[in-house]
Amino acid sequence: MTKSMKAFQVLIIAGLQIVSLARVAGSEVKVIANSSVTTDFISMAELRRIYLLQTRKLKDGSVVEPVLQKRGSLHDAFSRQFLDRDSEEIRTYYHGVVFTGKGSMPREVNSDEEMVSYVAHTRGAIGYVSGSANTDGVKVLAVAPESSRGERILLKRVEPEYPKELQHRGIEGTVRLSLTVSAKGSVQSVQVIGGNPILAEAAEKAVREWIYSPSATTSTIEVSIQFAVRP
Amino acid sequence: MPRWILAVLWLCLAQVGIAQDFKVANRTVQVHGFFSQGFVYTDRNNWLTMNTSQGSGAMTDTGLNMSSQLTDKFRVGAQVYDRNLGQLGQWHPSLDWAVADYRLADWIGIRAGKVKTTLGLYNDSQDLEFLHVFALLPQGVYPADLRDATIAHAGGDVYGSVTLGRRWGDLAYTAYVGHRSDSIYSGYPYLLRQWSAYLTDMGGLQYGGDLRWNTPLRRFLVGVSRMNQDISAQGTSVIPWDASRGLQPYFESSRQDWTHQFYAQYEISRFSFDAEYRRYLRDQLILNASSANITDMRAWYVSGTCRISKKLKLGSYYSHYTITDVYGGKLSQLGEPNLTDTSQPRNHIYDKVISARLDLNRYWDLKIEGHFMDGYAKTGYPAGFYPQENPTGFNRNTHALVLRTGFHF
Repeated sequence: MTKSMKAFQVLIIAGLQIVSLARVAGSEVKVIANSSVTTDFISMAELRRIYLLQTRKLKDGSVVEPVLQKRGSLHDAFSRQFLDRDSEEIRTYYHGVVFTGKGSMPREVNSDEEMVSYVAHTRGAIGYVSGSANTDGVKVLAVAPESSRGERILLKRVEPEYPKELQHRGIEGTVRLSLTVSAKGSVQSVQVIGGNPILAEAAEKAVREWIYSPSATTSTIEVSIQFAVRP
Repeated sequence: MPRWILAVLWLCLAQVGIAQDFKVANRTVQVHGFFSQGFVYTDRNNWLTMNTSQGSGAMTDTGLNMSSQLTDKFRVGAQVYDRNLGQLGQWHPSLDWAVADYRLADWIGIRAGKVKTTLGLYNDSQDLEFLHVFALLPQGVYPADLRDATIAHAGGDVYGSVTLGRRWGDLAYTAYVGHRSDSIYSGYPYLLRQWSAYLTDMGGLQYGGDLRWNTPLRRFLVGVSRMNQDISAQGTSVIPWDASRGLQPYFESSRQDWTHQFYAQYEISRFSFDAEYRRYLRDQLILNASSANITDMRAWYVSGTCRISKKLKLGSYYSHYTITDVYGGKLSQLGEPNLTDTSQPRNHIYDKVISARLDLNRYWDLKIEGHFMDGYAKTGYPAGFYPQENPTGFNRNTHALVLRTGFHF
């Protein structure tokens, strides 16, 4: 492979990962949590239930406290993207809860810096900041988008390295793998179902780094990876 | 305190973005409040105990609450509410709600104290005009003059929600029992005054439940509520067949008193649609148990709202209300007529409404609303039109213009 081809391949792989992250976390909003929150992932539905004050616990049992940014484009984007409502509807919803005695308004902060500081120092706090914010001291949660059919969604995909020898010889093929994915989303084990053993080894190495959306139970997922020499 | 001073005070508080929380013993206490002022003009019948045919601004209410989340599971709070609606309320403040809320888990929590009653989509938020597009909610289901009858109970709720899974949505429930206590400045005691009956105390047992299903269809909710009551009232009255003796002790009590309500709500994009049906049956022994009065109310409405822009929302609803009134015992023997023909204007109110809401800023809204009403539902139970304000009788149709503005923080 020429240097330019290699660079092109790296760019493609990097691009796939960036798209994946952008789709998950949103291009403008990062969801952050205090380090006491054990999970690294949260589903969109779970995040919505927390912000609509319907639950104070994550599936892993951690107690969380939602924190809001005061009005502005970031709050608008978060409301639309993650809560499925515009920011005025969210405000009306909170007022309905507060003025009927059925809940309290989440804490509001004025800026990304204040949000990061509060979340970093408050056990169980969960909030959101703009994509460019410095998130030192807090963890950034991956948010799994909802799937209408309930299947697990691939959040992080790493492309396999095409073995050079096979690529030079023009040997192509499809590898079929069975993945056991933990409840948290990591790939626990890989079983080769079919395909060229050398290609399968490369594919297996890559898929072990894949991350899926969290779920209540372990899942088994079949994937096919195609190796094709580009013209 | 004059209303205009209150209005200015609240406007100032809202505009400066009043500090909404403070600390006590290292706990955050949140403070929220609201104020609303309305003006109603009707072309014919006077409405809601105001002299609306002259134009009336006797429509003011206000509330202030404080609450604090003491632990992950335990929260306390209280709200004071005061209103003046024509002859109702008359600036006698009341404890609107005061709760200690312990949420053990998502599926179960307990609220105790004075708790707002969950009944249909909006019973517990009917006073909070800033939550709604409409200046007045559909009066057949949420009558402003009868808020005391359903608004709260002193007792407790058990509540919770269960996630049924991605395919089935969520289910939320509330079950409650407590004591309802009506102000003597509410609609029913006021109506009785036309017959020289003056209540000094009214209330009783209230219990029921609500079950609502957030269906898997995105933002589509359906639910059902049921409320049972055992209500008594006492005071003094002129007994019709013994009027020469003047005022005598009076009491009345329930034989049956129940409400059920079915509802649905669907929100999509900038549109929201509601539909509710309520039936209220009341079988009351009146005039010291010498007579009975069976009142059967059925009401439903459909409404739609549309968000035109961030500041402007439009809405419309049709509210359909019918009532029958049947007498037994001595009143019946004396010839009190039964009112059972719901096609008559004295047995129904059909109200077509159009409304616009303008949010001047995040604290301040302004509404303008038109009502086109057929009927006046004048029976032995209140429905917005009172003989005291309409001494010369009722016209079949009433058109109303309602202006309302509110501040909240």
